[in-house]
Amino acid sequence: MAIPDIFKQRAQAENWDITNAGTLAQHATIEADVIIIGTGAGGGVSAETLSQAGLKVVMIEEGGLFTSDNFNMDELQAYGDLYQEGAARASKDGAIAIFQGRAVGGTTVVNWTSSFRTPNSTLEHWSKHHAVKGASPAEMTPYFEQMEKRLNVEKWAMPPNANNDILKKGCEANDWSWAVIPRNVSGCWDLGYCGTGCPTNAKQSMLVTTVPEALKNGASLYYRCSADRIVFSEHKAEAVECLALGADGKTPTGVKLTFKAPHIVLSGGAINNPGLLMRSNAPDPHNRIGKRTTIHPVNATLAKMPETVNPFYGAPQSIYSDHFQWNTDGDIGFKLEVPPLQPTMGAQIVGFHGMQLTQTMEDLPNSQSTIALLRDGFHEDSQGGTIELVDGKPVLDYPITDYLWHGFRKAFHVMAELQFAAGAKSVYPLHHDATFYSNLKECKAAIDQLPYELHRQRIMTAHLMGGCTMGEDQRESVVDSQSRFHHADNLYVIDGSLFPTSIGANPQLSIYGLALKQSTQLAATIKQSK
Amino acid sequence: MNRRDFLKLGAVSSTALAATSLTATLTGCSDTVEPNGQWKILTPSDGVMLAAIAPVMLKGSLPTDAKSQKAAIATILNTIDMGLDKFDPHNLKQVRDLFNVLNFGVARGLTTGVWSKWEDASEADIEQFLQRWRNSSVSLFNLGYNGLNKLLAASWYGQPQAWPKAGYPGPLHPDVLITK
Repeated sequence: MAIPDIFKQRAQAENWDITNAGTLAQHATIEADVIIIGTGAGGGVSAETLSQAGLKVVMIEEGGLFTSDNFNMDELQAYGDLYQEGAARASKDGAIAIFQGRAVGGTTVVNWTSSFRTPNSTLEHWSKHHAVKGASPAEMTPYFEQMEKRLNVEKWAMPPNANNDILKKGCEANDWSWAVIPRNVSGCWDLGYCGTGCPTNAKQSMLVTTVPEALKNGASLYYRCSADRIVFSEHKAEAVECLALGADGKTPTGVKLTFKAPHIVLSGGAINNPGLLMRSNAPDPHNRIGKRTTIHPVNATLAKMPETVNPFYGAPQSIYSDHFQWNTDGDIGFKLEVPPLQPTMGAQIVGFHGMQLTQTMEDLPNSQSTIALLRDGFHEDSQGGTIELVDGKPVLDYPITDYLWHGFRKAFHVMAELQFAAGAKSVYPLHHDATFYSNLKECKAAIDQLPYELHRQRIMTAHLMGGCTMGEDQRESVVDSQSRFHHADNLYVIDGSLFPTSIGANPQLSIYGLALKQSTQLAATIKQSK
Repeated sequence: MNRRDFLKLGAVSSTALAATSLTATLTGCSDTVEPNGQWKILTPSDGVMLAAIAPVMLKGSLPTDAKSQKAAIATILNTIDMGLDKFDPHNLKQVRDLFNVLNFGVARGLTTGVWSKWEDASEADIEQFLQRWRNSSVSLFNLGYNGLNKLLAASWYGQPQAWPKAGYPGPLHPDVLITK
């Protein structure tokens, strides 16, 4: 154990109150000032703020507790331990792969550390079109500043790895704008394994920042504790009934835990929050719960480069381009970034089999992938998806409209132009009817001919937003601009599920900033009422 | 085979696919008996089917000598089983439906073109089946191909044994940072 496991060390030294619900033998009722369901970007920040205000906080987490000693840069182990459905979560029709975290610290444990403030255009759009109050750029700035300081968010100062440098070169060659990505790391080793849990505790995820701070402040943490149902009375959420999960992280042990508090905060994310509210038959007169789930749908191209890229090493994301993000002539905008390509991720996205798969994988060290993240939710033909329950579990039904297909096609063109301009020998748009093309002209002709149909093009998402959207109009939203549920006075939603549209950037800092604002206000409200 | 034939095949096959799934459920013929304890989700029939498809899906990457290949496939199957055990019900049902279609005679023959038992199917037959599902104009088959493709590819390339051929030296600083 060359790297100290700071979570374990502090837990012992500071006598933190942590319970693996799966080990409990008896039903129990636990009371507190505030119950927070979920320990990711929203729940972590809320737990820190509310515990700092002197409130007794209980954090509930469905996933397991894994800390740096468990993070071994092993994809299979990490996908099984740290991701929803073993990293095989998918949209209802199976067409979109969903990468979402499930552990103490939530998705912040496995994200790639890109930290962008919510773009001003997005905040202004919410105010103008979704009746969101109090979240203008000027009002949000202090919260972003505070969270950037808290999580050591800074533009990546080291040179980008070759994978990211190709994105930069391609932009420069085409005279497109690009910039360096701010990252929430402290003493980063530039390894490249952010997606499998940071083995050096450099990533300032909730696991090593706000959750420990809340525990130090006297908060309690129950993990492997699945929020099954909120008990509602007339205008109030009375309690949260939870099922303890066994060692497999999945099977209920039969032990039920009931959590009671005057204030309850949902921070389970854009799929699980609506799922919990629906299971609980939460009041929803305008049928808004689980609507407008936006995901930044992603398509990708794979390039064979003449030089060695080793896309599995080095800070996974350090360069981006918003050149095609905002001025789009009515088309959907998109952000350009790169994904790290470790072999498991690489092998399962290419969509080849047999010798074609083997040969593509043999070229992994010379491969570069570029991704486009489509900014969904800003147009009448892009209203996001809907959460449904299947056997009590939430499933995302997400339609790919012609507007989105058009965006994917445009993004394929742009990414092919970028990779060839950066010197690619050949480029493959990830689609069943495409292959590696050795020049731009041929590649673009093929992109125009591709049938844009479900299950033929690889589509992915790692950004789950919306589903409990905020706003002042009860007919259009689930909670008000202060995160309070429209139909229960003491129930709050604080995380990415609040967003009325997608962000147009990797969402973690947007969640942190908004969570800080909402939880600070909630702390003041609670203290006033005491 | 021209596009019209494909479409015809598609229409027949997707009906067969739906019908089989239904018939299997109604007659209790679906292979959901608890396996022997080795696996939590995969049934013995799934194991035979996946073991037949794996060497074709992963051609050129698996070890070539029979004994090592068998061991590699056993590892892949165990990995798939552990992975499937993490799935939520909706996702798992889709996989179960897919495996049921692939496991049962007439449905398998109609949809895959492989009429023999999986253990007797030739490499050429299986390759043809994979191409047929990958390229089919019936999106359900594309989805089925994607499912098999992702499960087998991820479960194999996650193994250190597969890394040298993919030019992946493994994680950095393993002596300092790997603690398992």
